[in-house]
Amino acid sequence: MVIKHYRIHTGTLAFIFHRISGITLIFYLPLHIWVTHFISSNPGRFDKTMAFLSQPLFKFAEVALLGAILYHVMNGIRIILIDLDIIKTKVAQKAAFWVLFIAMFPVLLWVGYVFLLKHIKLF
Amino acid sequence: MNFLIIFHKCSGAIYRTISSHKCDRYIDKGECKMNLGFRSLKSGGEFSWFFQRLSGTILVVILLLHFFTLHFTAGGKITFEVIALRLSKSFWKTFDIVFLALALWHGLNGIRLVCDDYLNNWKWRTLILISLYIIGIIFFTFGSLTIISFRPNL
Repeated sequence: MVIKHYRIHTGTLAFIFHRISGITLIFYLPLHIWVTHFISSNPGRFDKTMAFLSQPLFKFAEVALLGAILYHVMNGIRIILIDLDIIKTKVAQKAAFWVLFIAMFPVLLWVGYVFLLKHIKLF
Repeated sequence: MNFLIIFHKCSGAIYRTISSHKCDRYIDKGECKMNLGFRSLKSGGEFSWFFQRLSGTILVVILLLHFFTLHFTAGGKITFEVIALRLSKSFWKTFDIVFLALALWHGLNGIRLVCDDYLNNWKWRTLILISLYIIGIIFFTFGSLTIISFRPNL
């Protein structure tokens, strides 16, 4: 399809990963709603579920989720800046993508460490 | 006369929802046998285009607030008490319901865009678009009922 017939630019991969992260997030959202709905119906089960989800594996999955969110947000910001005509030239578009993409990682590492991974026993 | 115009617009909207891209091409060229006269309610998709960006920016702000309030009050573990403190105030309740509505709209509209790009068979399109609406309604009512009916055990 895309990869076979068209040349791949910076924006192509940005678009593809934006879609992939978007689909991941829209599949995550009903799961989140389901997990948190116990707070009104059965608080005991809510506590048990949250204790189950505090295991290290789920903490890493949370960091991965945070990565998907941050990528989607950063690319979304890039798209909005292009639509608002703030980023005009092709050079500026590529620069914006790389700036936002590289800025994503420190945020991910910081938030992932401080808020998510510091509390598990491995660290 | 007014009713006919509104009916024509609505049927155009419904037709446009379930029609495939092939027929759109014929409509543009004026070759489609079903002559709709004028376009449907959401003809260019401008509102959808605009609202994706608007809801996206608002969601970024709301998401930051959501994440930082939860993790600053909880520390490591999220338990019932932590959320009870938050959800007993009506500001956070409305905040959460607005968050839920915007997130569901933004996400499901995104899935609709992906469908528009890849799905041409109108039966599959109808099926998936209708199920998107159903999922949106179900999870929105589910989530808002959870938030509204929350009672902190005093």
